[in-house]
Amino acid sequence: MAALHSLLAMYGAFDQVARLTPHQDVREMVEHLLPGTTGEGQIGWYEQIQDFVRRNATSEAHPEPPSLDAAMRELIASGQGAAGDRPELNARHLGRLIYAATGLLSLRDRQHGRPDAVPLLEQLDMQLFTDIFALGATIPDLPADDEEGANPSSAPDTQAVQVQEMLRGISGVEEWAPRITQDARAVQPLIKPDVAAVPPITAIGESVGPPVSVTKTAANGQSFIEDTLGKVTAEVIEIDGVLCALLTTEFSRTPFNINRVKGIVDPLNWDNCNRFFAQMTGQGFGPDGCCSQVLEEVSTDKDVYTIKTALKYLKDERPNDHFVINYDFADDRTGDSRQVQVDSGYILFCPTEDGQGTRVLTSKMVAIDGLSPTAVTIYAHTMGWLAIGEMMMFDCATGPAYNVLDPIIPWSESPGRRPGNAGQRASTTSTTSTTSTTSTTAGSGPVVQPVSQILVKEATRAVADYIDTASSETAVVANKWLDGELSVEDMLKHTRKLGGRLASEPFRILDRILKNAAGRPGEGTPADSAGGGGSV
Amino acid sequence: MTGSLNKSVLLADYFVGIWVRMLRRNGAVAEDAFRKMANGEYGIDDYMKSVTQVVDGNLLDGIEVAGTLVAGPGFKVASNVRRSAPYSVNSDPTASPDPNWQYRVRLTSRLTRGFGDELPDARVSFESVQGNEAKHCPTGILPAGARQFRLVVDRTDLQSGSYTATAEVIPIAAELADDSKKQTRNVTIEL
Repeated sequence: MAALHSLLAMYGAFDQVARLTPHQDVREMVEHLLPGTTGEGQIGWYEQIQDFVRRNATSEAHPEPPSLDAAMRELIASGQGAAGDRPELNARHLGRLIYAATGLLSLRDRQHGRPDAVPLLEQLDMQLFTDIFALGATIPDLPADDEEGANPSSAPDTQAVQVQEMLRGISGVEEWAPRITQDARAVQPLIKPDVAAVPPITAIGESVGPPVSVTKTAANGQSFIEDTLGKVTAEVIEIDGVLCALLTTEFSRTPFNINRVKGIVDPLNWDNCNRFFAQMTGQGFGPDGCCSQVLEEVSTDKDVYTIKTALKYLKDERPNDHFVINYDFADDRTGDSRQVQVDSGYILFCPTEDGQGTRVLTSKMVAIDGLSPTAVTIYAHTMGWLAIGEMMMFDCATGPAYNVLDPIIPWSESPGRRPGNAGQRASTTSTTSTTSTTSTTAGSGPVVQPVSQILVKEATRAVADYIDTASSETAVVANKWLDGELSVEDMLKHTRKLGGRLASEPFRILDRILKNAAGRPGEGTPADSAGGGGSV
Repeated sequence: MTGSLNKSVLLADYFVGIWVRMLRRNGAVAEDAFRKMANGEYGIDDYMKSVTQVVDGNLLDGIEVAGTLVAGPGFKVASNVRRSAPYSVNSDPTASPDPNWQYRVRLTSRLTRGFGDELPDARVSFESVQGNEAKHCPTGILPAGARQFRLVVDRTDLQSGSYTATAEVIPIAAELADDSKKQTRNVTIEL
């Protein structure tokens, strides 16, 4: 069982508690710990992911998710690892794990002893929490002279207990950063600095990691302070009728030589940096001879399932030492499993303001067939899609590769930007999605879009049409003016035409809603009850 | 059905409120224009100002409508308006532009990620930036004394990416003179 799969199960436990608990305050605590996951259209995200894995499992695999107990044991074993091996869990994974353990412990404390307490948490061995906190704890300095007879081997356990006590009682994501920041500033922090720097997950809004400073030693033996700061943001956005997760990260580390990031950032290297990227297979250049192509295979457990996406990307060097990789679906999606409906974004890295460090910004717009934006967001956060921006570039640039036989591809700018072509591409999306008002999911009939989706799309279309109309109409009026032919009557007609259109728009939208969202008379509508449906 | 109809009517009422606001503003703009015309005071600049007031207000109102409508309770829907980092009007950012001059900025190439996709002109407008204040300038004519500008893009239905283009900044008074006053910028916006 892969460690990432178990990490997903830890976060899935939040969703399970939210669904199973009869206590409103417990559900609210889940929302505070993992914002954006318990509302209508959001709750149940873990079950969606489990269904997704079952549908896409290979025939030989066992697609059932691990129990929480088994997941925690797997993660502890992975985190401890064998001496000398590259750890299965990097700092980012440990950061996610420590936060999950903190939240689940708080939920357990909140519901403990109540009737109808969710057994999932009640039945856990408390030592598992301590062992998890030990993975993220700093190694204490052992006393040189043990006059008291204390057992040195128990010091790490003591440290773990101290971490647990420090974090105990955190009931919301907003409490995390202050407590971690305070610990990071201590003379002897309890939590490893690179673990502490990882921002907690949120399915909505911004999550900022605490600023962390680490003392390091340069090759010349001189010590220096390395500062890391980062944040991640999650939003929902619609593109061509498809609701997507829009995920951005911004991380900086100083001092940090930008050439080290440059040397590792090519997507073909990502399977050497993070196990979520199971395989990145180069597919040569695209038909234009400019874009590189890659078949990306990702998974939380590649023995059970993989998501294959054919991507194209362009590497661009911009002024002032700015470097960009833009990516989108490949023109030829051979080998693509078509589970991903939207996948576009960028990686941008540049010097920090002090000129000594490196700043990495990423954006990913992604939609997966059968998963809500909430499910996609948690999946991306927990697993590794966001790792590209979340310190993966820094860690990969300094750590050993997972596969020393897989050559590292150095940076080279793509063979030349595509020259600006007259006219616009026919569609702004390279997905196979259509603009129809219904969508289908595997194994089911047509699904009516929730009311809110129709309204967003219609309102946006109305505005775009209005702008186009206004622009062209205004050009006509302007020409008349220049020719000395503009009259007050022209201005009246111009304004009345546009104003009249605006006045009628709401009723056109209402008509569309009634035609597409309503069921048979007397019945509730899919829009009222479907996940993601809007209501006022 | 009844429940759905009530919700739909409520939502339509919400939109009507915004449309009415647009109409009232547009009506005020038209009324102002008529008054000036009647007094013989309505010139080309006034007309441009009227048009930009109408388009400007409606553009941001419309995007507000799309952006604030939640796709299901609790979803934070990303705004469809994206702004770039600011760019200085002068090629020397430490130098102050002439306070009496107005500058016009326009794109000389279309914003693109490099995949052959180019953003249409209607998607792009500009803002002048002065301290913490920003003024929308849909036609690219910056107010006198503006030191910085930024791109404003309607990102509806656009793929995420880092889009780049070249822009030209020129003082309006010199526009009819020669090209020596033109300044070129490489501009970028992340969507």
